Amino acid sequence: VKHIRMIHRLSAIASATLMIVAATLVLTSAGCGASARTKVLQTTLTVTNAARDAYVSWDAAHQREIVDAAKTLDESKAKLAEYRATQAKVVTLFEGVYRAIAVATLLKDDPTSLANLAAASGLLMVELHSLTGGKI
Amino acid sequence: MTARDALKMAGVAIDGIDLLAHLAGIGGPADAVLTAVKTGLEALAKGNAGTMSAQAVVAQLDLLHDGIKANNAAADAYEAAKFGTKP
Repeated sequence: VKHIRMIHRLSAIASATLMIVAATLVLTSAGCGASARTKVLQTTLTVTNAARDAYVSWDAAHQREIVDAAKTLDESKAKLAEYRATQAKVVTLFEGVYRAIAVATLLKDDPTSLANLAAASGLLMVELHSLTGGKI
Repeated sequence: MTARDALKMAGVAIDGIDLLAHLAGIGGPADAVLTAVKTGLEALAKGNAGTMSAQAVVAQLDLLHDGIKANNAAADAYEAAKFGTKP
């Protein structure tokens, strides 16, 4: 029940991805068939692509807001640099998820690849949710 | 084909269909997100994703890198315009 409540607090994509993560873990522990495994990977890829597009859109607006809020050029540059350190972290997390999907696609008989993918997806979505204040 | 139909054809669980309803309520980027999901799911429904390769997955990263690069350049240009400097 605690986990269900937590999932409900998360928004759109994060919620869906956590469901996929949960399904992935179930399938992993149950030793899922090729068809179910492929479906999990395809759905995870689709949701990750959607999260990527949402993040890129949010990122553009957020950087503009940073410049708008700055009173001086130095302040603007400092705030943008500060944000871009976080942006780099998010990009790294996306890279981790995409590579985990790719690895799971290649290693069809390796159950740990799905668990690794679930972990990478979970980290990304928690970071996105935190960074965007729940918008992603 | 509607996104919901595509989802059903792809065999996505009811939670996945609820996802679309959530996405539609996100706000600004909802249309882009919805389109991306719909396109992806239509590909699934047509069976194109059955040939999903590791290379194709990693290629999705390029779209992320390109998007971030464009955003950073746009923000720098916006900053330069606001403060009257060269980006």
